[in-house]
Amino acid sequence: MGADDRELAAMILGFLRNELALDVAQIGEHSALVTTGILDSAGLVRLAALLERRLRIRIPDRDINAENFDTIRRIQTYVKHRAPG
Amino acid sequence: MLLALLGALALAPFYWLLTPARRRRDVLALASLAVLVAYDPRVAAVVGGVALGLFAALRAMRVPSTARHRVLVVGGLVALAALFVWNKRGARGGGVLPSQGVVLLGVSYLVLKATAALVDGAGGADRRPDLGEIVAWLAFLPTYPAGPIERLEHFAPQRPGFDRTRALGGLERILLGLVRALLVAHYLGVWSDPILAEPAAHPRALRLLALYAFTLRFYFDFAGYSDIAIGLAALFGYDIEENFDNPLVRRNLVQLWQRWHMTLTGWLRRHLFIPTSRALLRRGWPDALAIGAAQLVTMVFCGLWHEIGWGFALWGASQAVGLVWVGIVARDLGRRLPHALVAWWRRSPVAYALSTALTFNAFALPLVFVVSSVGGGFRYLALLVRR
Repeated sequence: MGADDRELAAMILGFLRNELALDVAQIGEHSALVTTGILDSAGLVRLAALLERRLRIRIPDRDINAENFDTIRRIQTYVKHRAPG
Repeated sequence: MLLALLGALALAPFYWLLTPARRRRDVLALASLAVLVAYDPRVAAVVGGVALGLFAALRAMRVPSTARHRVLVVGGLVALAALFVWNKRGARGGGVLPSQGVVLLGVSYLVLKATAALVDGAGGADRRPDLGEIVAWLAFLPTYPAGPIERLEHFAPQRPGFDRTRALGGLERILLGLVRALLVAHYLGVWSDPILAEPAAHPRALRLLALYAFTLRFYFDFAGYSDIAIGLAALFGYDIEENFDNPLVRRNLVQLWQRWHMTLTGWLRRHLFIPTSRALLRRGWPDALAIGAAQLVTMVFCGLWHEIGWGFALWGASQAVGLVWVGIVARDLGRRLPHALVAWWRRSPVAYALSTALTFNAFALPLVFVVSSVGGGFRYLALLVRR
């Protein structure tokens, strides 16, 4: 995992802990967030907004789903795919 | 319903023995259309019309033109919305479509399915289905009357092949559904209907229990029909998306709604909640307000989709308030309360039992507006607190 991935993972965990008041001690990069219901639709929308704001990327509505957002690893992969250049 | 089910069970062996593999989808589509024609030819005409319109729109979307896509989506949505409203008017005897419950409900499901396919098509869905796939998907008899709301991209690529384990699993699922819908739900209704109709004539505790029984009946009825649909589909070689996952034993409303009528809530999330909340966020609305407004729009729509009326709208709004409470207010509270207390609440079996009971009540009590009207619902709730 590179430095960018680590920063992104820390950002996501910080969001889950501070904004959604979740206990992140047990959440790893492969923990399912959406399919287990840990991250609900409202949390998903807020996380997407945070990623757009911080990383200056555009996430289409149709991409906000479990396929792209179920784990921290998947989010990292998706963000790389969306990042310019 | 039982007759159609028995007919399907009797025909299943012939379907597998006599139909060539490449023709199974078409045979199922034709059989489904034939049953709909026998029930009411106008319903089959609606299914055929929607299938043709959708096929033409998706075909026209092959040309990469944002303006063309927008026109097709707006035109399609207006036509589907008109069909939906006419259908609902039919329920009150004033429309052009039949007013019998099952088929009426089928048209509401049809509208949601077609809407999703249209919007996904404009959004650049990878696969462009042919007309046969669209007809087979829209008319598919196991899911036609009451869902699950199967997505086109999940259904269309499937090619039914015989699998003994799946077929036997399907039969078990049908049996489970029959027990839930025709036995459990039926007797819950037999017991609770007289109390719900005349609450003042019964003791207060029974009024509350009748409302709980109605909630359980609602669940067993709906989940039972979903079981039958999923089982029947499996018997004919199709995997259909699940619809319920023990929603009434969840510890908050968000968890409950994540597991109640999941194909509908998935549709609402993809096509209403996410676009609405994100559009509001992009306009600079604060997070809590944007999420709250989107929840309200989504859940009121959910109520009105079931039936156009103030009672259903109020029921939907009540669920939106509960979802906002769990998703925003309670989370905010969780940040302010002592960590030890929050940790106890999350892990204690007592807290689990308490929150599950509260969640069940938050779901069950507003159903009184569905059972009755807005005024009748409030009168019923008043009767719960006075003798």
